[in-house]
Amino acid sequence: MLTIRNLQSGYHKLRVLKGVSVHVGENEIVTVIGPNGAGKSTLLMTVAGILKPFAGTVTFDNTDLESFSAEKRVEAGCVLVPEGRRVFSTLTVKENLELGAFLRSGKNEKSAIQQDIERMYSLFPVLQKRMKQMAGTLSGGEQQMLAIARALMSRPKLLMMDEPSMGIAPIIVSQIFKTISMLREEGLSVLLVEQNAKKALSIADRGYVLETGQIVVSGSREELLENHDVGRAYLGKDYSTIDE
Amino acid sequence: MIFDKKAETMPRKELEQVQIERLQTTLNRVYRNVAFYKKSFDSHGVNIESIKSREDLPNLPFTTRADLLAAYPYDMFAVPLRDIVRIHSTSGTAGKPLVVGYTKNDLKNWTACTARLLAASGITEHDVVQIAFHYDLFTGGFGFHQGAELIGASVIPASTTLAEKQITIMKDYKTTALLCTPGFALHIAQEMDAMKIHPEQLSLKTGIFGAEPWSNSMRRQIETRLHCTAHDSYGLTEIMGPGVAGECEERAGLHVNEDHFIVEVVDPATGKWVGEDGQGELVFTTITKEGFPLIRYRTGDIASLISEPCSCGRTFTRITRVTGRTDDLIFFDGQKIFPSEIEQILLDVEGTAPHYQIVLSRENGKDIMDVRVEAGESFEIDKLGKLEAMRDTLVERIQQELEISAQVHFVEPRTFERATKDKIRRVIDKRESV
Repeated sequence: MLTIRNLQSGYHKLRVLKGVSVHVGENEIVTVIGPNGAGKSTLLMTVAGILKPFAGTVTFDNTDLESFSAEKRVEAGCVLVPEGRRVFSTLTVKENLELGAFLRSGKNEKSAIQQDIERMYSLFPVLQKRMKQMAGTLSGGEQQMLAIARALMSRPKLLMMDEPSMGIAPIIVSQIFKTISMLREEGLSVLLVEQNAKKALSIADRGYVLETGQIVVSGSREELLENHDVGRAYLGKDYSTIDE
Repeated sequence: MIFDKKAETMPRKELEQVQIERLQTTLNRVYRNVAFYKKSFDSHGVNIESIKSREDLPNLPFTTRADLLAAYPYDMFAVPLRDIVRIHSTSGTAGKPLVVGYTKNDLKNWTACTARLLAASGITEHDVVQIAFHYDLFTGGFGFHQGAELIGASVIPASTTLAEKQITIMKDYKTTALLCTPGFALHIAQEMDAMKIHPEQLSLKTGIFGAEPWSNSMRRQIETRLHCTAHDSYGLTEIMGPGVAGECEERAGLHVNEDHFIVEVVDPATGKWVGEDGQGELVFTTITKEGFPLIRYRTGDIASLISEPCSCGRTFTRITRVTGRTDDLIFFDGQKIFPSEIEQILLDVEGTAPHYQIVLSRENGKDIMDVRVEAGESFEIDKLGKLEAMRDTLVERIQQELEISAQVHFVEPRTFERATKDKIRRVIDKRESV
């Protein structure tokens, strides 16, 4: 589905990613974990077309995305839920959802979009309750749900999420992750970037550890949970033994 | 049967991505965690970021047996010892052995790799698997044991107990699969003749042999004498142990577990790629190992790649059966011994550089080593008693340090050729050539 090879990317002259190769298969939830500043967001923004890579390739559904604008990537089915719940705060929940489908036009789309909005309400019932409310008045967790639902309105094949758990009550995070797992069952692929490694590995099939722009560990969920470096650095294991 | 269909039949294009991801991850880790590799890459002027595909692999320097010996015991480990859950080493070597370590994930992957190999030979949960490899520092016994248990077979850890006892177990416990060195299999066959046990009295169907090179005619001999289908397997302690590669039901080359290892074949003299399907030295890079990762390790084993896809459905590339060595390593009774190790013992005992020859033969399926040493020029006939004492010391030291039984004979001074331009032929192998 998504194949990234030798990706180098960053900001102006600052090279953040130093040759990263990762992939996401059909129907897979793949997580990229790592400390602050490792380049996790840079990775997602480059795949989404917001940042232009210095070198390397991004292939989506066997198509090289190099010439694709950010909009065209969304159209191709590759959608990013950015960090920090960027919802349109002065628009209502429903208007936010409609905007998520802005690339979908043409005959019969209107009713299809309406159907999809209903579906978002069933996935995230709280959004239905708040449908007429300004998005800015929602709680952090509700805004995150709205951001995800808005992204889903474009009917993506691959959903990329940047730190969806940040600043949200753990119980809400669990709810969101449960919904993500459910969507995977229906065929969605997910690339999940998280600092909360424990949470991310609870739903991921595979994962990568990104440190200072390089992948230093990769493996199945079980392998990452069993890896002592991952355990010590990201899962808070072994602290008692270190203290001794 | 294909044990892990998803991995073993992965389309080559996907496999290529998996390999490059894992290779880059391994390179990033060894550069950070193993001083040897940081030094090696830096001194060769290699930037690991320049390794962008499998084709870039030849830009990396080799790792040799000498590098591993110099790292004794733990300097090549890429994780702290507390993360290591198993330690093995090469057995029976004088001086320092090679020490390798496995993390929990490494053991899991190793187990899966040997399980794949066993399944490819037709082993299922219905089999009674008798493992007649050493269960000790050597990787053979434990390596196969784990895989056979994962498949759910009934595993008999017979180890290298006497052939007579092996046969009794095979007969009484209704063993369906025998795993051991090919030499030991022939020894068992020999012993069966002596015990007047016909192979039809056994339930044996499958044999998986390895740890030393063996010829096709030896395979036919084993199959006729033990009434089983004999499969070849390939592995070495440094890379993982058994499970690096194995024959499938087609028995037309050994599939390399390419999602864990990248294989290259190079010219032993130049170190350059031998070209498609050319013969040369096998070089392996581990791409999933956490505890003891190795980059471009020169095995000394001679074989070639078979690039043509196999009809079994597995997409992993195959290597031919190993046909020889780049060095003078001796495979003896399941052990690996270099002549230099014998030489060191001779030197210690005799006190001067010895002139010697090692003659290998096989009697009743059992390997025989005869070490022929020139008596020093200063020895007089009346010192015969002293010579005999020295011979006994040599036999004892070889037994202790190399864990093998050898005969030692003294011969007249100047019996053997002296070093000229060519390398002296120290080893005469009269066993069936491979």
